[in-house]
Amino acid sequence: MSRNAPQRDDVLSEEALKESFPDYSGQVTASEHVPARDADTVPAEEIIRDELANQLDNDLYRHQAKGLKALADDENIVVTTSTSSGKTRIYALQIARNQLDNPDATALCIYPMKALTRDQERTLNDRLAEWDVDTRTEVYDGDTKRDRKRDIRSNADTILTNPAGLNVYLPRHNTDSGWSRFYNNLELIVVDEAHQYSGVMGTHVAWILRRLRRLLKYYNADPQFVLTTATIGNPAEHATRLTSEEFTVIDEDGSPHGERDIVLWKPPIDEEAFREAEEYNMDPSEGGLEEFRISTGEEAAKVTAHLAINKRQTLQFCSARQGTEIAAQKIGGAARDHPRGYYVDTKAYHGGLGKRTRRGIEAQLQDGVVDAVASTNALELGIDIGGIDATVTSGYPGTRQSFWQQIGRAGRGQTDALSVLVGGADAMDSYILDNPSYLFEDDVEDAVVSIENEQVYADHLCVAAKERRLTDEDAGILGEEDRLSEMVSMWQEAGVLERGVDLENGVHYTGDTRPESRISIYDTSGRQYIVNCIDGEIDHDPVAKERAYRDYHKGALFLHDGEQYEVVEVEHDARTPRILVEERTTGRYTQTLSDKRISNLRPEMSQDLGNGYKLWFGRANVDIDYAQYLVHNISTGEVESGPHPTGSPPLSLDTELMWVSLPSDHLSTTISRLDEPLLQPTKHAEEDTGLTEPEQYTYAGGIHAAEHGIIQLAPLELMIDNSDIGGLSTPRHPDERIPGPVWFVHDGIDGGIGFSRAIYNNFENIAERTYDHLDTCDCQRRRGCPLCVMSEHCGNQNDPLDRVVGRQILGDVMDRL
Amino acid sequence: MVPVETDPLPGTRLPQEGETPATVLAIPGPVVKQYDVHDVVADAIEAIGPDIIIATPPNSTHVALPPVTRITDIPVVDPSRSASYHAVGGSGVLFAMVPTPDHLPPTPTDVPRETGGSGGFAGLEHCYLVSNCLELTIDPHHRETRLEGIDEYLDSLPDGWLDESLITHVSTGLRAEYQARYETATDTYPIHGAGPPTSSVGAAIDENERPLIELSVYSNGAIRVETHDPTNFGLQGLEGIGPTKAERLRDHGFNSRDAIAGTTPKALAKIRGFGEKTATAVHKSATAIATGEVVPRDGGTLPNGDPVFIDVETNGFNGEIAWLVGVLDGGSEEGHYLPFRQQEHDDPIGHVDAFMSWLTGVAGGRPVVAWNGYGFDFPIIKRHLERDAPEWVDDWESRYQFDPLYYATTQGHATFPARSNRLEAVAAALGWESTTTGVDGGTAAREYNTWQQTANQSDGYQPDWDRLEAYCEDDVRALATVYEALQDASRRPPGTEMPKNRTGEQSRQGSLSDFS
Repeated sequence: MSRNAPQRDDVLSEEALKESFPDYSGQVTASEHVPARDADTVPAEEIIRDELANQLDNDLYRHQAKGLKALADDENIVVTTSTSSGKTRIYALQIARNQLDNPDATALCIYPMKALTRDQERTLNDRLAEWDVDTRTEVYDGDTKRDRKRDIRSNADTILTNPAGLNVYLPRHNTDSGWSRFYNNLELIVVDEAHQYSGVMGTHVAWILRRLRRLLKYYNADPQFVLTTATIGNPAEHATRLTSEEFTVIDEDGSPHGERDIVLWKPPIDEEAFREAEEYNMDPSEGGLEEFRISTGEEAAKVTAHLAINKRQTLQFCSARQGTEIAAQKIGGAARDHPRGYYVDTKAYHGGLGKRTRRGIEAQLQDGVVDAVASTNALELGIDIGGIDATVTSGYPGTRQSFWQQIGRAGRGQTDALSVLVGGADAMDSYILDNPSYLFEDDVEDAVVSIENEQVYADHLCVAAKERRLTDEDAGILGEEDRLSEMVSMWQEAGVLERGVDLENGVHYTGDTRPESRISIYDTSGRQYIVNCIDGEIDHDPVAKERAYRDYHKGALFLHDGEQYEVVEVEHDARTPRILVEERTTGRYTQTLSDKRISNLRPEMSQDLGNGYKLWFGRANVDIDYAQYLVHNISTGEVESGPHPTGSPPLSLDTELMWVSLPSDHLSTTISRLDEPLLQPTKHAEEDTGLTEPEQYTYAGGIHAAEHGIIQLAPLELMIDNSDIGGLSTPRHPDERIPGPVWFVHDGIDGGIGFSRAIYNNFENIAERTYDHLDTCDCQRRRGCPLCVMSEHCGNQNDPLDRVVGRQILGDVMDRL
Repeated sequence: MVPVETDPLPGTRLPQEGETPATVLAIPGPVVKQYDVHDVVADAIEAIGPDIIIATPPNSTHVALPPVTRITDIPVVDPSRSASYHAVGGSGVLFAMVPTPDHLPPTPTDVPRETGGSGGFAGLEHCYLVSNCLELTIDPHHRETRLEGIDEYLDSLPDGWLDESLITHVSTGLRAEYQARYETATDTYPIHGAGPPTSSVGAAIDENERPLIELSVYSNGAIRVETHDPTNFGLQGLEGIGPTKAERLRDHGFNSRDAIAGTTPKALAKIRGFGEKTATAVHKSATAIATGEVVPRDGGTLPNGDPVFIDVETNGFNGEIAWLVGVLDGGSEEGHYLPFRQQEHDDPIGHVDAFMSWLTGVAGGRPVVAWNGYGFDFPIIKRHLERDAPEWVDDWESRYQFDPLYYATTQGHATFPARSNRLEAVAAALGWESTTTGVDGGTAAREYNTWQQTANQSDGYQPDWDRLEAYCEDDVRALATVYEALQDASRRPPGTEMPKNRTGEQSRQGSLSDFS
């Protein structure tokens, strides 16, 4: 493959792509041209001592210079410039400066993935050696051999690890030799790819970093922080939430890049299939015309194959569900079917591959010997794979932050680059294809991390007590004074913290050994389910209880890495709860039905919008019974069997939620404003045997649609995973503070993880986007479609659901905002 | 400053010096379901020697039935099913087991009369009222811990059972380590657990904790808890034996450790799944127990020179302060014991300084030996020195440090003849006898902390230092016993272990009279 700079009129531009793509039929719905940018540099010797400056082979980009200057001024920095803009160089130089000032100085670097840690170990070692800095950088994690660990603790200058490791290493600070030296001399803490720490994991990381800082006080160390993140909307806030320190934001990117086109690509209708359906006079079901669109995966493979055939090395990002192996096969197939068809060398890359295999593919990408790689978001992070010519994103990755991170992978230095987003079949993708400006606005999502979850806090407090007795000096960093003392009392009464003493005296840990080993950074209860395949291997992350009950009950079918599995057994009472699955090809999918109750509302914030409209945020008990499930046919959507019992126990959450309460007469005023056809029950409503009052049904469908819409489109503003959000809408609720109809949006994780809090805080923007989308969704169907208000997680089979009335109800609320 | 309670919980008291406690073995239902009763439970009963066995949840009903009741003469009681009363002779301790307090007679002294027993219960010193009525709920959302069932329990408690100095309320619904003093407007009730960890309560409690529970109860209300992993008993207690291999051994007629010790590794190697290596390891492990001797395995050398045995007592789990460094200079029996103990509240280093002076002056060049030293004593001393006396750090670091537990188990150089790797268990299997009772690391830490916390009070707490030092002495002598056995084993040609004389074994079982 040629490594010569591609020409603009060749393949890597919107126009060239349209012209060269076989049978192009208008798939491009929008595009954005990003002009080339020259490097904005500052002479290195203005910022760093000559000793180092002389060693650098080029000047500092402006953001690097600013970052280093801020560090010299004793500030903490959060660097939020683009992919490959040289963020590592900032902290590598800081490590070098610290070492030159004090040969004993140490640094701790925390990465979200082991693969990235190894990669950065090489980079840091190479850089520091180039600059003639005599220092030792080592990875210390679960893969490090025991005898090496002792040596590293005692002698390494920079230690690279991950948060789960740090959780376990911190309590050993005074039993494993070497840590005291390391912590005593710690001058720099790097948290790389900090945007990764949101949701449940973010909550844990925030407490692990607080435990670290608190312990460092005892070692008289007060290190500076460097956080790097992808572009997020709230870098300073996020950094502070994670660490409880103040930060200076470094966001003016001084790195150069070439011209770049970003193209939005909508898979075309498969004319042949459509004609066939018409011939047989088949009635398009729920999906309407959408059913005949070529699938996202197929279409993305065609684009990738086309670019690879044109000798442009291409990285295709797949959403986790599609599976990179299958994508790689599809790219191979599409290349063979291409008019200029021939073989393209394609590889699949994901976190489940062995270390050596991954390293091999990374090297092949760097050396330009592989034509195309289908990858999960694992390659989105800063692993060094050099520059590549083009990226193809198969289905919107869920956040703009992630999207831009992927796009940043395209381009070699100042050469041209092309990125194609092939739209997928859900509400988010649909919104983006309809509203491309959303992607190109200056805004990006806010990262959401919460330290409010009491269960997570309580557990980390125990570990902190084990690390060192708790005293009132810990108030602030280990929770505000009241929260700390109340939680300490709770644990004292439970007998796991020393009784009969208060924080003034110091409180020791007296619980069972190794509490840190019972903290899982993937859930809040410490009780997570592992997934085992009975007839082979499955590389599946552990599942939190909340998701296990809903999505992994006995008989549930689910897709993972492109394969379908059925849950054959769930061991709820085992020492380590376990989900046993079997590979299956069924042509069916399952849908879990639920019964939900929200009670004991404890409002914490509210916003009175007047005239009976009110927004609330607070806590409540959410009781969900995922008692039954249905089995559907994939192609027709028809129920094939069920309801069957799930065997999942009832789930009781005490969690955070926001709710929108409407005036007591809102039902009647809404109905009275509806045009005649909207008052007629829908076909679905007529089939519902429980239907007694069609008007109520219509209204309930509307409020249900508003609830679904908000949940489905919240990720447009916030980096949140909406499978961890649930909802409930009802024309009446027993709570006396709620006069009329209401809809709730709650965190699906016990104790809450800040999602519904963030929705409350950003409600206006989210409501506006939802309203626009409900108004313009291509389906224009009264019941909506999976691209707007239908949800696969709905426990009521998406009934009743009324897109049009939902839009009207949202409009009423927005008029008051 | 809030005055510190000097005796926060009766269960933590020090018992009378030299008192032999009554022993309760609490068995949760799943143990009986999951393990072979004749093998595992029978061996556990033999090893622990309880005066009484209590069935605890979950599924306590599985326990108080045959086959458990058939393998032992010791009473097996499920308090949730029926009321029964048991006095452990000599210690003045009465166990009242009831489904609810409704079943109780008006006062503890009415117990013998009601049951028409053998002439009344004289000399009652303490009564343990055992039920399954109380459970704990930890609710982080509301930042509170609740004792569930306490209101109903107290409502049904007869007035004659209120004396807090006489009665301890024990619930099998509470984990054994739990203890509290529950206060109402008029009365105070000491509460203690006797069950396994029940439901998920957070990281501080290990739900998978070893589920066999040994409670040593004393006549002043003091209780010591020790938990045991069932896999330490029976065939599974042998090295390399899990449930499947234990089953295969039984299938081949090897029903006991003695039977295995009595055969040859070659014979064992014929069983499916037993390679030569496993067969040898299993045989060595069985031999160690049968002979009561340490069995050497491949490799490993003990340090040269006369060792200095040490054991430190700290102020907590993750010990920041080693307030007592107990040193044994010489052998397990004749060696000279030197307790280096903190003397003044505000001087955490003087005694460590004295220890280091002694070590470098008198005991120069000799290896320092501590049980689990790599995991506990050595780093704690180092940390302590780094913080308070950095001038000693190099001396300490350069001293040869040896951990027999690490040497035997982690490095696999020897097999101990005990069912667990606790120092006391290993040393006892080698013939060592403890001379102190009622003190453990946790008690010692609490005594020290109470002393520190009442430093500013005019009537500040004074622990019984002699007793705490004696406890530490017990441990260093146990350590020396183990070390000497390791030395003997390394000098002995393999295969020359002598069978242990079983008749000389002392039974720990007290005399027991039943009142049910």
